[in-house]
Amino acid sequence: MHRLIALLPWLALVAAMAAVLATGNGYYVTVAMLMMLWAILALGLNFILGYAGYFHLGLGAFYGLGAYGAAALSVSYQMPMFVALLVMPAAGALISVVIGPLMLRTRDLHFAVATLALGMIVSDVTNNWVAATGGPMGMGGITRPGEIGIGPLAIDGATTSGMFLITAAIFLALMIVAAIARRSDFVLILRGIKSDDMMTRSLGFSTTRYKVAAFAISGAIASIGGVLYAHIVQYISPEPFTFFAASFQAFVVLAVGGLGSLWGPVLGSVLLTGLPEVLEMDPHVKLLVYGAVLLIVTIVLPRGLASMGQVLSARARARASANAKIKEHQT
Amino acid sequence: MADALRIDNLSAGYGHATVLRGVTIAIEAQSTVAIVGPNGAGKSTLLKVISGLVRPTAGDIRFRDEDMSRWPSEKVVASGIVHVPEGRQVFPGLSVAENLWLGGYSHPERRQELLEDVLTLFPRLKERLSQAADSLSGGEQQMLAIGRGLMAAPAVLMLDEPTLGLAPVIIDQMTEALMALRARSSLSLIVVEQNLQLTRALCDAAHILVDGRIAASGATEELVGSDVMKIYLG
Repeated sequence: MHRLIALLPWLALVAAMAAVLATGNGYYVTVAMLMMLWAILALGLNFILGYAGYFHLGLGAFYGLGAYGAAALSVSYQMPMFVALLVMPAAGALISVVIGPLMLRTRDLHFAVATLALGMIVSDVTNNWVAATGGPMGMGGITRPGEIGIGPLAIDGATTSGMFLITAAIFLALMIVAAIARRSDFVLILRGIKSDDMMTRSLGFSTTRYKVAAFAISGAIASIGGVLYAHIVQYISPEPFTFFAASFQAFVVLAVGGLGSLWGPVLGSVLLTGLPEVLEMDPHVKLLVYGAVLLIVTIVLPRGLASMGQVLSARARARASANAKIKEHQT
Repeated sequence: MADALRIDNLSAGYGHATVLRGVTIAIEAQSTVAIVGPNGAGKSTLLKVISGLVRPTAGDIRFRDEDMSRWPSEKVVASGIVHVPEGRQVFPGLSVAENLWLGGYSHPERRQELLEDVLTLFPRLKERLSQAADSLSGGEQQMLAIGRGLMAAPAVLMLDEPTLGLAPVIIDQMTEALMALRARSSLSLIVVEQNLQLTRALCDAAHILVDGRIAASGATEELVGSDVMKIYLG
């Protein structure tokens, strides 16, 4: 029974994806892809921020790395997308492993500032290294994958629905990995680090190694997000990878959805990237709405949208037991 | 009997503040030893140095004839020396079961067995397995901290003030559990304790630490009630 209930959100997710695809409406399908993209970024961020408790505000750097790497591989080297899907996350993880030990010596605000600087460096590079990145003009002509599979099962990556299926497959695979990871010792140790780093060390864990691993996983997943972005939009410029457009938005999606939860990234993304898109919100208004939603959720549901069920059932139980006590008193 | 731990002329401190000044102690295998002394004498620092959380500035620590003074804390734990710090240290955001599970990390294949053992020793924890650790009472948190230490299947278990701030009834329960632990042949216990009654019931030997130096060592029975004890602890 318990297992069946745990399956329900997965079924709902797949059903929602199928429904969007069935509409055949290119706009809705594209919005759904963007929602999955943000859910991917947030679920990656979950490792370092949600579980380990480190305020990574430079996710945009890895997102940008993935996107620009994918663009370069496609435009300059005519490599298919799946090469970028292998190379860019590896690059993101490698860079994280090199700079991680240094950055993770700091914590709290210091770590946040250090990662913020990382994002700024990438913004600077993408704007000014014109020869490689096209500068503010960006890079176009990114080729989507062609036909994949055989016969009736073949999908054409060049079409919107084909790209949707590729994105959905990667997103679902990452969700399954996240679900397995959530129950693993690795994530338990990260939560121990968040709870008390020194005590985790005294239990015999080399906490730096775990933190660097979490940082690398977040970086690698953000790079995957970047690769997907480049191939979904087929044109990249520095703007989408700046602090407010990328790192901050990923943080808000995760925080609103629920830090350290499995479904938080999905719920946060539906609310914060899906709805504003469908409601055709002005980008400036969107930032205001983000701030307001973040504020409200922090106050009403400090553990995010994913905790709504728990909070409501706890309230109902508290009310029931209070009522029972009153009745007991009356009789 | 062979010594489990040999601490020789050990000095340590924090920055410019020297806390331990040439401490020498030998702890026999399978014995129960108390470290007593006034506040600020360096008792907790001594345990932290042994567990690798504070680096010694001089002297050495030998565990089964191996110099362990420079071991990182994870190696210390892996070799069987486990520190339960003072102040009911539990992971607040984690459940009781998760707290215990983290403690058993170095013995993945024996975890279930170790868990059942801990729950037999502290039956109260069994009722609270899925509860958040910070929702436990003080005594239960202390039990959880000790239980988590036991999950590492230690050869030497170091307890820092296990009864500090607990209600008398809980102290009795704790004493009972610690006496049961003491009866285990495979375990050496090092207990930092201000409660002399508990020390007397539990420990074979005691070392009095004053101002970073060992002022006296000997069998607990002889030391408790002796003049040295009266001078330093009143």
